[in-house]
Amino acid sequence: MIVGRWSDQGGGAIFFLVRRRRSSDGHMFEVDEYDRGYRQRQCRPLPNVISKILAKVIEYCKYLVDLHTSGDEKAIPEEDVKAWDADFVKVNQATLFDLILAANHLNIKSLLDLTCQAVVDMIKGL
Amino acid sequence: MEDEAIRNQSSHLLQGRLIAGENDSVSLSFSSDAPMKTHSSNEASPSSAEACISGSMLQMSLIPEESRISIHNSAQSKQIRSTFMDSENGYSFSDPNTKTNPKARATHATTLDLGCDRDSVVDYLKSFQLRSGTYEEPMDEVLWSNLPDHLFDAILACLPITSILKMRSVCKKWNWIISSAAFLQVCSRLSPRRPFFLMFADHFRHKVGAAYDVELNKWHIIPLSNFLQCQPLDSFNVLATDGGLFCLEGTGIQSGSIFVSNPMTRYQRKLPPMLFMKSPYVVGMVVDRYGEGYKILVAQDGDCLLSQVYDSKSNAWKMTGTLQRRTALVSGAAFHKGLLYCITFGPDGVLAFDLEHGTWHESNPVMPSFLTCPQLLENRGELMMIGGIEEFGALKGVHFWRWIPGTQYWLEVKRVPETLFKRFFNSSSGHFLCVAHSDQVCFHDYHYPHVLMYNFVRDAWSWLPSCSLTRDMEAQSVLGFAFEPRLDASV
Repeated sequence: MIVGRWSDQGGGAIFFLVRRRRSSDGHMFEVDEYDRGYRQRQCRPLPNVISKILAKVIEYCKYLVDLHTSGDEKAIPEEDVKAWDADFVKVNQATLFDLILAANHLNIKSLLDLTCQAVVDMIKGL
Repeated sequence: MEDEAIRNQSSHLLQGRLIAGENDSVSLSFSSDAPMKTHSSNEASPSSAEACISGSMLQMSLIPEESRISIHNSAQSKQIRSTFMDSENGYSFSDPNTKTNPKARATHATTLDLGCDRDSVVDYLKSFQLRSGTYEEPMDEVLWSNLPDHLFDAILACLPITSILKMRSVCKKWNWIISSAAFLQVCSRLSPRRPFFLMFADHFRHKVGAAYDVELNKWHIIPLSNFLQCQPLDSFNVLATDGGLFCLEGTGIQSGSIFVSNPMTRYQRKLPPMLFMKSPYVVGMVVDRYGEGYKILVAQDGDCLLSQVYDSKSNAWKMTGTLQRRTALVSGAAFHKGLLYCITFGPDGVLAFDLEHGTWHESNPVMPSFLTCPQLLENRGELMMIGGIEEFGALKGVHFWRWIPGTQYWLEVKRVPETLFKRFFNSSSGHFLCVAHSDQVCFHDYHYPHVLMYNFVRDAWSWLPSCSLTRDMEAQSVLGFAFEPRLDASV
């Protein structure tokens, strides 16, 4: 099950595939990470990332894939991206907490930045 | 022996909580049921600190910059001030109002235990939220206290920089959290903050500084000592800035010396003297985001262009390439794709300096005629130029040009709207200041009290709120530089 892959325009190309694997413990998620086009096979089991949170992360990654493959003709305006981001983090605190941990564990920098900023915004009362 | 007994008898431990106070300050709230027992040589008049603290809820305001705590008890509306000596986790304070000898004063020490650690930071952040009044659900302290340290640092790093700086001066533990290498590393990996636009005003030969914070949309007064420790009548000139660092030249006693400082961390460094040049001036400074170093380019114009570069990694100046061409006033520098571009006059042109190889390149573009006050900037990966077109000494318009790569042409992409131009630029003497950083450009003129800002992303013009510097003094204020406030930029 290929979930998402995108290239980070910040200079590093990171792709990842997430697979669900049946194991003796039940379901486990594996992450294959590709860095700068070179495959670094890191089958990381993700027992700590529950499926609900992973679904959210996958949703985010799919959006990133769409953004970066849309091409110049269909350049999505920045306000729309910001609006989508703002909508994405309209979750309860527990989910936000789990998203931060997941983004850190999966090493998705933009998601980590987004969720941390969301916590600050929550504090500032925005 | 006796002194020790006294000391033990009168030391008192109070537990306090740090909460958000007025104006982004940090306040201490604590309760103490047991009245403070102090040993006073003068039994008749108990120390005023005791009289104050015997209430059940007290407000204390920390004034860390002055190493003071102000105590007030709303029930008694009494306010006293105490000096304090800070300990690891809080403050010990003694009341200077008691007329005792200094030795005995120490015996009145009361220790406030703030329990400063990450949990207390969560407490403080929550109180910040409650203070602001607009929130959907209060912060769950138990939940957020469980966040691993480095992730908590990631959240702290997203706070406005002024909040982080205030937190840093509350107690040693918080200062340690915020100054730690781990936190600074998180800061360095963050996307760039929105810039501060710096304004200086001269007041009776003193310089005062203020910075406009784009993120918070307000002006902050910046003490000059943040930039450079200087004698009262001394001052400095800002020569260049990049990556949160400033290159300054001292005046007065320290004239001729060049310093590099970070006004956020207040670290400063004096550079070794330049190699000899008849009339050198600093063209620009470039900080290497990844390599933790910076370079400063100094040039001397004239019949031919000479240059030298300071490299922070080697802490030395080195003569670099020359250009056999008549140049004058190399300025308005911007860093773009590895080269430091600057504008030269007489004849007009654009020069590019390769900092890595130390060589100059001429591009010989076709410059707009009658160009005045040009400033180069990089925006969205493109080299742009902002400048005015003059006619018979008066300003006719202010334009934005974009460099077309691979050609020698500037393409005009924008012009200041007619109404704004009439209002702002017409009163100028054909000269204006333009400061650009990331997505914002600010225009300033001596004669006009307000600063005009253009935002590239929103393609919108706006006026900045007025700055107290320009209001209070009949001073000539100069908006000169824009910088990105960084805690992790090291001098």
